[in-house]
Amino acid sequence: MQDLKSLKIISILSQSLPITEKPFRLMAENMGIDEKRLLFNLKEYKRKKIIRRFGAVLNHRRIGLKANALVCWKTKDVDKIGKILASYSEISHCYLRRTYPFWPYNLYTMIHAENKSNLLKIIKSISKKIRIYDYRILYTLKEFKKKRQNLGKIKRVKRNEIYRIKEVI
Amino acid sequence: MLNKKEKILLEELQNNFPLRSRPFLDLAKRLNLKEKDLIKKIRVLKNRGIIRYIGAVFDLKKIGLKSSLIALSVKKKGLNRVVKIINSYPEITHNYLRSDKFNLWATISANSNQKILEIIRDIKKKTKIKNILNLKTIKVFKIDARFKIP
Repeated sequence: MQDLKSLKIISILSQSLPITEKPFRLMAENMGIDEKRLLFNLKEYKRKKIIRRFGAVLNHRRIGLKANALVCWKTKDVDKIGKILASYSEISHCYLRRTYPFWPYNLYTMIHAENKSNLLKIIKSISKKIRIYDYRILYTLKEFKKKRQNLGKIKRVKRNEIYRIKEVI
Repeated sequence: MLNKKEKILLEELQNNFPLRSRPFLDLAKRLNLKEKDLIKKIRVLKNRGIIRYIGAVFDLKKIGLKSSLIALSVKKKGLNRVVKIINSYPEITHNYLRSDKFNLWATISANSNQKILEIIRDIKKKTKIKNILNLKTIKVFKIDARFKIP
């Protein structure tokens, strides 16, 4: 039952905050805790990095970032290059992934710009900076799906993780 | 398009959201607005689809989720059918058409790597596409979808 309670709280926390004067009070009521407790918990989650941040998620195309690409790079110097790539504000995501003999790229970055020519300029300047010329640009042509993970549907969260979350509930 | 005031508001909502009882009152004070007017503005930005969501962004790894990126090479003719099959899994969170021989790219997050493999196997069976890249996440260097508003 305790686990279910934690999952319920995660599920409620992964819903959009109501845009009203006292949004946290409403959210806390749904969880059966008081507002102060919820605000305290949220700060704890942030401190423990269970929550990466709390705030607005914007639609990047609608704020004017219309040219987007997944750019994958091939490098042996993963940690050094990964850190440099992560430092660019135009890069929102940077992951190390497994490779295939016929697909040798290992670092994956999402890069965003106002238009295609700016996007290309950024990619070229990054390439020059990290001295990697073996890369592939995969422009985003169409979005078929984008959704927030429904955390309420997670049935089996690792036990130790549940306890970590429970600590602060 | 967005005016300057809207851009400042969006940056604040994105970067400095107050975890306080009346967050919109705090924000309104910062922006020299009335709480009621600010709330109205935010609702409009949400309805226009500029704000997708306001809330907690979880570290999915910390709550026990595994993730992968898969890539498929799909002919134009069968594309809609394949997209439908892939999108039908709740574990698929993103699915994009991209400019490459491998033209369909989707992300999966699930409770275990085993579950991810099961889904890929199932997709292979249903789409009859044998060659699917399963680009498992090994390390995350950055996830930060906070944007500088141009």
